[in-house]
Amino acid sequence: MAGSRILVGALLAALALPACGSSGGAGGGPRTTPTPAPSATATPGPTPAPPSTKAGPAAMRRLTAPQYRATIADVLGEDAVAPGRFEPDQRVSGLLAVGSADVSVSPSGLEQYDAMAREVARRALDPDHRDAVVSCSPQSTVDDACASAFLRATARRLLRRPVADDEVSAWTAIAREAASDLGDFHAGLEVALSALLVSPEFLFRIDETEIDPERGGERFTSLSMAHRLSYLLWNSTPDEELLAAGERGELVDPAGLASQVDRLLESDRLDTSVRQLFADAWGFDAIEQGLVRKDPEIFPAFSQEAIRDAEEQTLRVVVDQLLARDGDYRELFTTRRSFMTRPLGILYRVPVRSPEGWEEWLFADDDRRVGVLTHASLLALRSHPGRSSPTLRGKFVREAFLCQDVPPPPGNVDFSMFADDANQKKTTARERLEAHVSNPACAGCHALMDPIGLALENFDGIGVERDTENGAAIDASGALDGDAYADAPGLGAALARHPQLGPCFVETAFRYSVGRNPVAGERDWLEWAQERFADSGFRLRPLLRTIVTSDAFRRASGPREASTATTANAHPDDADAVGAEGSR
Amino acid sequence: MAALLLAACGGSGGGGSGGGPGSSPTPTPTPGFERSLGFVVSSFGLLFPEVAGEACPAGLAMGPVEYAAAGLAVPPDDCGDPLSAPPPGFPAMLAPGSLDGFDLDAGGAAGCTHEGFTGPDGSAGIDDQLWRAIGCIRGFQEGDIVGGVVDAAVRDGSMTILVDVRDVDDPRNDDDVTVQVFASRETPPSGGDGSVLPWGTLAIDPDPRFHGSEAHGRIVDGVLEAGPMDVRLRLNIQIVEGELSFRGARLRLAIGSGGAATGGLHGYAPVDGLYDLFGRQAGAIGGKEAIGYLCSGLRRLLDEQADGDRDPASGSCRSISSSWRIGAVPAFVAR
Amino acid sequence: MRRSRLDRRTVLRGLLGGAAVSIGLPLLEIFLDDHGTALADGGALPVRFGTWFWGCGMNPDRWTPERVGAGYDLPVELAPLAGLSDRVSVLSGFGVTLDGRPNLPHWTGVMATLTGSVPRRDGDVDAPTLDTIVSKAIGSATRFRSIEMSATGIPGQSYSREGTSLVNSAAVSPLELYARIFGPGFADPGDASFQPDPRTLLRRSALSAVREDANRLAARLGSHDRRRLDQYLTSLRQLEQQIEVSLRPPDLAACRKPEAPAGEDVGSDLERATATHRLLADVAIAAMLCDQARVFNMVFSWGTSELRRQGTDTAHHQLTHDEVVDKELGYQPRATEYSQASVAEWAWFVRRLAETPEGAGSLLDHCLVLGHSESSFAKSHSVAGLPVMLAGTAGGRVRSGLHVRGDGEPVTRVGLTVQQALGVAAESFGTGSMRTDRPLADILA
Repeated sequence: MAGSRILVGALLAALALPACGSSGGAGGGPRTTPTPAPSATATPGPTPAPPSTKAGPAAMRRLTAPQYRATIADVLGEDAVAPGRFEPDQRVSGLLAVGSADVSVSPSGLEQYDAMAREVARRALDPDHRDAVVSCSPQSTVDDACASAFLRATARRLLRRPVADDEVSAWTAIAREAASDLGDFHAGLEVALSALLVSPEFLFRIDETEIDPERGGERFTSLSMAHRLSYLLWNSTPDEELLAAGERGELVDPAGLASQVDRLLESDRLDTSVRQLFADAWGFDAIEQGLVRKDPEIFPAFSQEAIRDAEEQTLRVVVDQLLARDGDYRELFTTRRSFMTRPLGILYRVPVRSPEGWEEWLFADDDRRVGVLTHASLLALRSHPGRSSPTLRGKFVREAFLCQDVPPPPGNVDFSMFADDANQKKTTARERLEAHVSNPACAGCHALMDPIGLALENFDGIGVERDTENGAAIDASGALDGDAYADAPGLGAALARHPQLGPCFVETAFRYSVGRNPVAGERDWLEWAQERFADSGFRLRPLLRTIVTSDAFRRASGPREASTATTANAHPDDADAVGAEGSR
Repeated sequence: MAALLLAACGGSGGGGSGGGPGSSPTPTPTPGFERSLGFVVSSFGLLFPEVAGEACPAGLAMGPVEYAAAGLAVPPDDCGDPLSAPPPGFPAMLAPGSLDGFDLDAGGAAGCTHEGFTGPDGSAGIDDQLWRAIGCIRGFQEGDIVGGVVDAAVRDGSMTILVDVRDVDDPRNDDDVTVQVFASRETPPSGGDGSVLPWGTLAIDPDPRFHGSEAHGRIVDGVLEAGPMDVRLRLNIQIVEGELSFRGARLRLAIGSGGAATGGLHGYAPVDGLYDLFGRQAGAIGGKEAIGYLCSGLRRLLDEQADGDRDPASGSCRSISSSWRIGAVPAFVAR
Repeated sequence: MRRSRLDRRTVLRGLLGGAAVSIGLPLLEIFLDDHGTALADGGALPVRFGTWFWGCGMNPDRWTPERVGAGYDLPVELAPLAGLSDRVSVLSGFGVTLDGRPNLPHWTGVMATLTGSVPRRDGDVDAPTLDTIVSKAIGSATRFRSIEMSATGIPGQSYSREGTSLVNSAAVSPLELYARIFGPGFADPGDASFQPDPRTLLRRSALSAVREDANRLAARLGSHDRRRLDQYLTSLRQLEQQIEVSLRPPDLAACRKPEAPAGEDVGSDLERATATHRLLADVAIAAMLCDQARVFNMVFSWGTSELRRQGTDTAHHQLTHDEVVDKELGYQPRATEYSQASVAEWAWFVRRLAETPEGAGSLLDHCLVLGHSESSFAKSHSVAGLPVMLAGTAGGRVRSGLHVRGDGEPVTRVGLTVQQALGVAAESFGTGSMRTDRPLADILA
């Protein structure tokens, strides 16, 4: 089984259903007291060498929607980014990044890419913008020299590699034919560019491997390393310096790699990719696509503007804590520091002086809002359109923060025990969910999810604070794998102390980085990386450096083969990607 | 809920924990909401007295539409100089009635004699001479055009009204609070169902002329009473633009468990100002037809019923007592 | 329908003479043969296939007709089909044999019906879905291979799948769907001066260059990626097909470019879903009349139906679990309200097709629409006796208006019947115990 991910589902199968409830199955391992984060001036001791690693297979990855847009903006300018929908990215094992190595392009998807490509090309080459992207001035309607110069340079950035002369000639021929038929040089370029933008080498990032001449085995080519690094750390196509370093073969060399990694990690653009990592791991794509909808009669304060602000708020807290402050990952769950806009102020019931834009906010010591678990973004996302869902919230915490898989309910489960007249009249979620606990078929798994979610019941289906539900006081107490808490802040603190929290994040960041689940040959390295993460005070930049300089990131077992791929890399929750998406 | 309300406001006072290693706590940048209850008015309009018998036995006043319907020529009428035309003989609303208002001149202020209404507790002398003046004009009737336009104005940003209650130690019972009513140039936030959302932040009007005077108030079992105070509201409804101001005003708000409040604002409005809005400006843009009056009649009704701010020289009064109902939701009043 | 036969030859001669021929001239009804079902040159009106899905099933006791064959009765939960029962066949009692695999709630039933295979894990799609199989037989000549729609606003809620990781995502916005079909790429049959856009011709040659690049790329890939690239190439062929088709205008008499939807308000509550469903359906119907697509899939609600009344906090799926079975009524009244509303919406859809004239009859006469859900009694996730209906006669290829009892036979018999009726060369359908080589003889004409 992959990495350190704890498979509750596997336990279930082995131990029969009620075993699902044992907290040993969920938490695992002896409880450890988190070591206090070292101060900024502490000198780290000597770092042990990484264990030997047999990296997993390489697969091409389809650009995610944000990557597509960022790439267009980098290569053709911000104004060339066209609005519009893409074929939805798919979440596999909880990450779009992992799904990106599984998905292809459906007929309707290619139709969307094609429409987008034509619009992007039209915008990039319209009279207001063409001079910014076409460096030469055409001498006539047909000007092969100018066309090929544009196409060579643009294709190099879009395809992330130098392009051969015969390729340039082919694209130039298309531009020439079109320019001549349409009587317009730039219209010719537009036809060629829009075709380039549906090329599979643009839509997919091709990770290519070669024999490592020094150590044997397969490693990623220097060119592939360039876009592996840039899409991971900047969420976009390599810039000129990185692409050139890739072309010169410097990125297979540890020193050359380190120097580019340092540059990328110190850039402001790291923010973008850290946001993307968390948006992916926490499912914010649903917010970005406008799929989080609430009943306006029950939740009049909910709006798309508010939920988008809520996503931004959470990402700002993440970036502030992990990058600006270079802080401890675990404090994301205990921090009182936040950011507000006017629409958010309404949800959080706090004053926001600025009519536009963002303000810092610090919640009071006795406030229930502590850590990202109490953010409106995550609370609203894991709720139904008309009410909160302790089960969805608990499932999310288990899966996203502790890397534990909660299996779907068994198909043959008998729900007749809900046929209790009294159950419908119960006022609080805790009372309603007690029916689960009384049924052994449900109790096991719901005991994993519900207590966590019930700790967040002081926040309704859009994350607004409340003391009561249907007039009855809310009891938010519970325990996380034996660590008792009284309320949401207590849950945040218990999660921050949970021994699985840091290791899970390392695994998530790794899976995000390589676009697949870990393989057996990477397990030792992963444990080592998890220890390094703890040693560093749970700081993100060192973790990213650890990952991208590792053999697990730089090397591969070879191209992924179809016969083994689906089973070797699958998790029981692969269903997240399709069947269960947006529905439970 | 009220406790929660204070806690939410008090949140700004926090400055303690939460700091991580190597970081100092960030002071909250939005102080100034401590010990305060704020409201944004979400519903506003004339408060209608309950009249036992026939309110207008002589019928309603006639505007251009009514004259035309009766086959009569519309009398000459100049809204810029309303007294230049002969009086059309508009009826005032003189019937007795009851009203949940205030005896505004109880202190014996120099006014003009008038017939008050009866309070809900049977007390006499409840003042609302504005209704006596306009109570027999069609467009001011309950459910008619003026009420709808004014009510919408407080929600759509045309006449945003903020109520700020400060020095609150106990939101249910506190015998010494400070109350101030402000205009705002911002639009109250509205929800998916069109209602004004509670807990928005709204800044007071930057122009100090639209800051009402500070008044002493008290809260008894969740009912706030405050006054006397001066209030000046900025109004820009469609193309009627101006001020609605009150002197010697009293405010009463019953604060519900969810923080929303209902009540009334009662005070003397200058006749010149009222006439400018409802007569001169509205009259020039179709108000006479829509509401059903002539400026010559409206001006005279207001002058005749005016009961405050008596001019010792002429003996006539220059302001008129009025009663307005208020619905409000909790808000952060940013001063 | 009587129409003049007098003019037909004359006009045809005129056309053949070459005078005043414009390729954009809409096909006049006089070119239809006496039955109105075929073109005068012998070409039949196209046959269409669609699926119409709703979530969380029904109450078998209130849904299943008592009489079999023609003239079956309409129990209370089928009552919305009143007046349509001769156009719709009800297939009751067809189910799923699990072969020891789990009954994955709200997934197994729909996958068994559409792919013939019982998936091992939630979300798995072990074989292509029926619509994608059928579209290869009937959908390849149109601009769009197929139109997927979801009435509740979530593009991922589409059961049209080539496999686990290839979803034909659903249109959720009627306005966007309209723009996609009737936007600039649509050649208006009313425009007699139709000229293909020169850019369209140029795109065709540009895409062939893309194809060459893709073929070169294939050599550099491992088998996992090559399989994905193959799918890309299939999609590319579809795109090229669309371009080919858009070089000539649609030539069907019933084709009219419709007005764009006036507005839309997407949401998962019943009121919005119903309104969205109707707008989407009308765009899809207009698209079929203009032969822009011959296959469609409508998801009225997902398997875990999120349908909800505005202002109520519990959705259909949740109700099927939480709501008490009323002891006197014998069913869950609130949950049933949604399943009945779903069947009513299905009836609206069928009626809409029946009321849309085409040829001598209606569009429904040239359609075969599979109406189905993923469970029978959703409270227990039952996949025995799945609710399945077939509307339309597929241009005379199937008999309609029958109640056929399955008595526990696999639901794959329906899928096989559909395929054979629509010209798919399939001798069997399904895997394991679900495999069948016996179509429903009563249904096949």
